Amino acid sequence: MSGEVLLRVEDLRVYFYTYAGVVKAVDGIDLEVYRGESFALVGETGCGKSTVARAVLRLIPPPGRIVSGRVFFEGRDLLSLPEKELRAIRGADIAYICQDPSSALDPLYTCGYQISETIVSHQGVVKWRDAWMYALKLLKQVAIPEAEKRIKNYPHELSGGMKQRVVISMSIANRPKLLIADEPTTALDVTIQAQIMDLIMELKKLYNTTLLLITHNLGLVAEYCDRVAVMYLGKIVEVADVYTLFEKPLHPYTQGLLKAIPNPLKRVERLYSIPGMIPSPVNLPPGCRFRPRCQFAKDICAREEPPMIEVEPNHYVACWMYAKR
Amino acid sequence: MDPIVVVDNLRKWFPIKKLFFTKGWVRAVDGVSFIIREGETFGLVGESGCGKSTLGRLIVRLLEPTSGTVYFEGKDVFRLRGRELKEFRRKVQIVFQDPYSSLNPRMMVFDIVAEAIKATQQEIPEDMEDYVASILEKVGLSREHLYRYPHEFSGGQRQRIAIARVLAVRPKFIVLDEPTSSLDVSVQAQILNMLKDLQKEHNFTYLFISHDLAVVKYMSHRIAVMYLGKIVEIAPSDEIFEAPLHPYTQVLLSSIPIPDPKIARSRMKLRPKGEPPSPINPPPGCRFHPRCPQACSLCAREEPPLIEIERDHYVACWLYARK
Repeated sequence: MSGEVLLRVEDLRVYFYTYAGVVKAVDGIDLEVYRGESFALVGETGCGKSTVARAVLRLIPPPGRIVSGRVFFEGRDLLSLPEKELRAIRGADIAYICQDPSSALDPLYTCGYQISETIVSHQGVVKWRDAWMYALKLLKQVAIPEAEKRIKNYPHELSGGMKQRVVISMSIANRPKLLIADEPTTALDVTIQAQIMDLIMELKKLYNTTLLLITHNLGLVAEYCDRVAVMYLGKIVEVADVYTLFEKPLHPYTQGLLKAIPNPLKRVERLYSIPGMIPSPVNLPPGCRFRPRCQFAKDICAREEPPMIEVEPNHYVACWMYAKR
Repeated sequence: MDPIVVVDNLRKWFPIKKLFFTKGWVRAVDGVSFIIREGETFGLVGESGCGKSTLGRLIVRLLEPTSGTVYFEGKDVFRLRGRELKEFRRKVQIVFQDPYSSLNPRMMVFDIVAEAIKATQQEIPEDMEDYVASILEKVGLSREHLYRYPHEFSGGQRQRIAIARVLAVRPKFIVLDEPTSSLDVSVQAQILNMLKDLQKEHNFTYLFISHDLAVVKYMSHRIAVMYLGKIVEIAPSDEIFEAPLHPYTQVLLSSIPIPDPKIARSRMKLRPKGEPPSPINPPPGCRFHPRCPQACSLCAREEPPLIEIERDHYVACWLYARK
């Protein structure tokens, strides 16, 4: 790893203004993703992990709004860039793979057209015929059988795994520097999931792309990523490299989460379950957001939000247990 | 332990109709036999479309089979009539995957649970409210939830309501059809632990259906692996993970992500070729042969029988059948 920062997120806040109240989906997070690494953002439903991914590309629909923060990509602040310049970055320098491949593809156009379109719109001078040939090459690269036939297919003619392969071929068409994959395999079966993840990692290596993987699946993180950030209710609670995180988790939430997933290779008589439920994001508990479910909670946890502390080199945690006070 | 459920060569083919003509058949379940013993959890794993949910629905008689049958406590389930059928309906219950569609949105929790009690014609408790409240407490809800509607609850809580409805009729055998696959991990652990506790307390027999091998392993005593309407392997749950025999089971096991980076990166990775074929025209011979890394010419011609290799370990693969 070069250690050069490719993407830096500073104090990002994304709020959704709904009738029920203000939902603070992302509430002040800082992130650094290094060039060439694969970085995972994990958390349960509703913790704001997908919102982070979308905010990076400024794709937050109303009533959501990016309230504050800066997102530096290769030194440029994406959040203050004019729309036109941002469009040149989206789909070219930064590509995005979403969870549901069916909604990512337009049902009215063939796969080949949609891949070619990405190429033509970002590399203006390319002729459609050349783009089509390149699309065919890409489809072969993502191991789609009978690519010559599939290129003329409409999305509904393909299976979920095949559609995700088409989306992936589209995302790598312009050799992106950063690939954001938002739950790319959640809709797929395990054997297909393994095939798709293998493919993403292979392409990442080939094009020397950086990967930001958004997932709820800690197994995938252990299998494929270098560093991890764990999110809980709009905040990052812990950042570490994978080995450290799985061996020595520090935050009580991370510890609970790791003990709550069944490991197929270990015999466990009883899974640990984190008590209580995730509170509503409209009515956030004051202080540390995990306090109502935390077995180590102290007085200070209810009063003040814990700061992010570097406990060991490159191992950050936001918990009062580790703050010297 | 005595078998409580015996599944005998069960088949369910769904017709594909175009106008009035049958154009073909979806062979969702195609000749499946196994037994479930009293008090155990029998796990059923397989990928989407392999027929595991159809099998679950057949066993509780929500569907009628094309051929073959199911025996519950020695009686042919599909021949039950009148009183005996009512009794079967009480003793055999099912919890569905999606707690958003399995609860009537217009009924309050009290009515949802009480209806199940009334419908099964047991002696109706004198104070229904007390009785329902006591059941809600068993599943981790409380009396204050009695008069609320399903939409006021989270996914995990709804699944608890669905389980309360099942408990209320004092069943013996419960089919759990992916009960936690729509839930988050921290909630999933709560529900799984609760199901284990209830089993100990009431000596329930479970059929646990899931696509998640890790969850099935945690819950089950024995596991059956299904592929395209067929069972390919049955074994005690530790054995299936330590010494999987069928190539499909091996591929499936090495495809599940392991939440431990050291093991995850050092183990062997087997991947199947291509994608699962359609159950409309399943390949001849062994259904896994087009994707199998160890297929031979016999596999394409003849279907392998399910044979007992070791005590309690069954596999349907020509690699292990002496011919």
